[in-house]
Amino acid sequence: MRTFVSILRDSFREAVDGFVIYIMLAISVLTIIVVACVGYQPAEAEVHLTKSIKGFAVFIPDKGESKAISAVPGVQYEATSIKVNGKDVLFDLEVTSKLDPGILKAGFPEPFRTAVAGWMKKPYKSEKRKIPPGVLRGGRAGGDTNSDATLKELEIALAPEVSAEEAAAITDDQMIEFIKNQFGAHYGCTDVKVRRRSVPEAGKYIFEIEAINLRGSRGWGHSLSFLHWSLGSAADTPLGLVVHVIEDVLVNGIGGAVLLLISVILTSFFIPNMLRKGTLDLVVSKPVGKVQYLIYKYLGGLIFITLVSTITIGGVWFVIGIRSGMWDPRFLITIPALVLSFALLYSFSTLIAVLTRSAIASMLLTIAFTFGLWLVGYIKKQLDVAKVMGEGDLDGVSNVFDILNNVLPRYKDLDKLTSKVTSEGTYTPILLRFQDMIIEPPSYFGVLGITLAYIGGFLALASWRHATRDG
Amino acid sequence: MSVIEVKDLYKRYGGIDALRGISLQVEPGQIYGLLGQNGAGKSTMVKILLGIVRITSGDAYLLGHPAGTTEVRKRVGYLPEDHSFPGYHTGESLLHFYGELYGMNRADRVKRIAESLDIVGLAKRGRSKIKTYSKGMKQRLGIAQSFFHDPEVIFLDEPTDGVDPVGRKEIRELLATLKDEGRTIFVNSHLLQEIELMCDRVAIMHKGEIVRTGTVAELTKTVERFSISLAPGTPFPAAEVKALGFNVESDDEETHIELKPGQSIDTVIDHLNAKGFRLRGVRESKQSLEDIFMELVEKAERGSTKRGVRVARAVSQTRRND
Repeated sequence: MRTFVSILRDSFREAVDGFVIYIMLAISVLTIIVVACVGYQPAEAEVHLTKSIKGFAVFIPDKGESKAISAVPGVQYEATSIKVNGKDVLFDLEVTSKLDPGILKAGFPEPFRTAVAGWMKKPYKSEKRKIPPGVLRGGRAGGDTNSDATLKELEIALAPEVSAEEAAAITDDQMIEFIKNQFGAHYGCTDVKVRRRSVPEAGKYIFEIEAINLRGSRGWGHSLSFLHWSLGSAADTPLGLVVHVIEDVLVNGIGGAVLLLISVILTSFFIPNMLRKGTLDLVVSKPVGKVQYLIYKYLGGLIFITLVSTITIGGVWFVIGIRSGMWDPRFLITIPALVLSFALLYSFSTLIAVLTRSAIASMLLTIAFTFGLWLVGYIKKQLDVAKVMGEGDLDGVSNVFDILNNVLPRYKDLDKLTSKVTSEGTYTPILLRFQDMIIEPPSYFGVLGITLAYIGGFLALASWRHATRDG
Repeated sequence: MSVIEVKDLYKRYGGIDALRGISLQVEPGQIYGLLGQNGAGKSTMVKILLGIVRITSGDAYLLGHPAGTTEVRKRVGYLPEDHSFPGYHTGESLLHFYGELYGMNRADRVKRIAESLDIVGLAKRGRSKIKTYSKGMKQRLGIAQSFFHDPEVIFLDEPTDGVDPVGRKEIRELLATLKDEGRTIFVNSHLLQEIELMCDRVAIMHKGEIVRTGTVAELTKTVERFSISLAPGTPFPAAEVKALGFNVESDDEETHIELKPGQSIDTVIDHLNAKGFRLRGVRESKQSLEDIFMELVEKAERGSTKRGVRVARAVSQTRRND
């Protein structure tokens, strides 16, 4: 342990001396400042609530526990008498039937009651549809073109079947529970007081709503600004979605790629410097093993990037929390994800450094390796889409890229997994279910297992070469 | 027990034999010099002893243990040839780093580092970055890092490389002090004069083999040779002296007489006096280690290429001019 700390401190000294740490920290601070400059303004209640409340037609069966979404046609939700108290909103929720009154008189169950009864039940039927993995589902994947056996199957839940008796038996309390659950599902707002007000009209329901912090909830529309400039985003974009775009696209995506690229460039000198003839002899003549020294140097680089990532991601998370009020810690999963990505690239860089003892070769080949992995992921995605759209005979090429994607480290898939975890902290339950219908997440085992296997393989090969090489 | 014991050691790099069946022993408390041209295999042998390079065949023991084990390396100091210290360290921080690798506690490190830097004359520059050091200062730091952790054996590969004459003398004195403290010092060098001045025993290596070992005195005393000069204009009676059984060689100024076992120069002097020759000078021209080295290299090269000899002469000449 003492030896490890010494070598770690040595690596840190090297990083500080070469201005590596200053460059990394400057990028880190700049990222945090940029994100801190983004402001989130909640949409006007009158406008946004009127539009967004109509979405209540969609619900999550099994009292919000199902993985599917469902809807009962013919129910209309309207917000009236809207009053705003800070971020709290008080209004009347009017639920009416859009069906012809004659149909209701003929014994057809009331749509709202049907929705509540359906919400309480599990989805009664599901269909398996063949969908290509990793591409947009629904519209794109529709039709009969998905005949390829390699396409995966997706379970689509259909609306629960409700009888007229079941609908008629719905109580006020069950309706109130349903309404409260809808605020959670659509806005992520859980502190809601609901009271039913009696109205004489059949098929019409009015609920008095007091939603605490509704305008600050993740499902509430927000517009963005940078310093005092408006970014012109639509005011009805849910806050969670906006925050997710910043976290996932700007920070994890673009910021992460830049951080990794710079890290690869800056750390590519560490191992070759260590392996310089006159330097290595001095160290390995001390009571420290050659492989031990190599691995400790590798871990030193990794810890260095962990620190930088923690400062950057932690700082971004903090300023987003301050500016938006969203403090979900799942965004912090980006730290280990970035470190794992870097661990993969750095293990490759270490192997090349041991084989060539050249910082330039190590840097260039690692960048080429990164680009190669990205390219395979990108081409595979395009081929999947083309196959679904029935564009030409691409089976041969597609198979090659399927195999490549399966056997190579899942660099891009790691991004997808991170995106999924972070979205669970920012999306509303309804939005998450839509996402699950659209994007198929890669398997944890496949991504982490193969990536870790490659890291282990690269390091084992580097260690073997280093140990068996004279001098 | 020998501090270093090497038996029939072979090392092969690809198709090149770097060491060809070397055997030697170094006893405790000696300053042992390994002399040889560049590429003779001196550094390879030291690296094998330290576990930096693997053995092809043969045995190497250090302090009674197989060479290169972690435990043995704690008791050894090493200054490699062409060493390169990380420029981001200061002299002090580098020694702290190495001290931690040796498992020294902080108090010991602080005490020993201050003492060591003072001994090598770097006390005032200990907190300067190494990248600001001159070559000589780096060499002094290299020597400091080889002994600051109190090792039993110290390997120095070209220790006076890049050091000025005053510094060289200081290094020789330092090595003598370290020897007096009971340490064993193993010096690799192609600086013949340095080896001659500082070492108790010497091994001469050539092309991966040890061609001669012994004390400096033993090596340089192998042949007795005298130079005699007579009064100006007086020819030396070479034929008469040869008739007495002596080897005689003359040049423009002096006559050189090489004694065979049992012969005495007094016989020649008495003969010259008896014949009325007026002597101007008699001088014993002891063979230097350089002469021995050159002779051995020439012998080794004889029958093959003469390039090695030319290189050795060139190296030797360059060093003498330094």
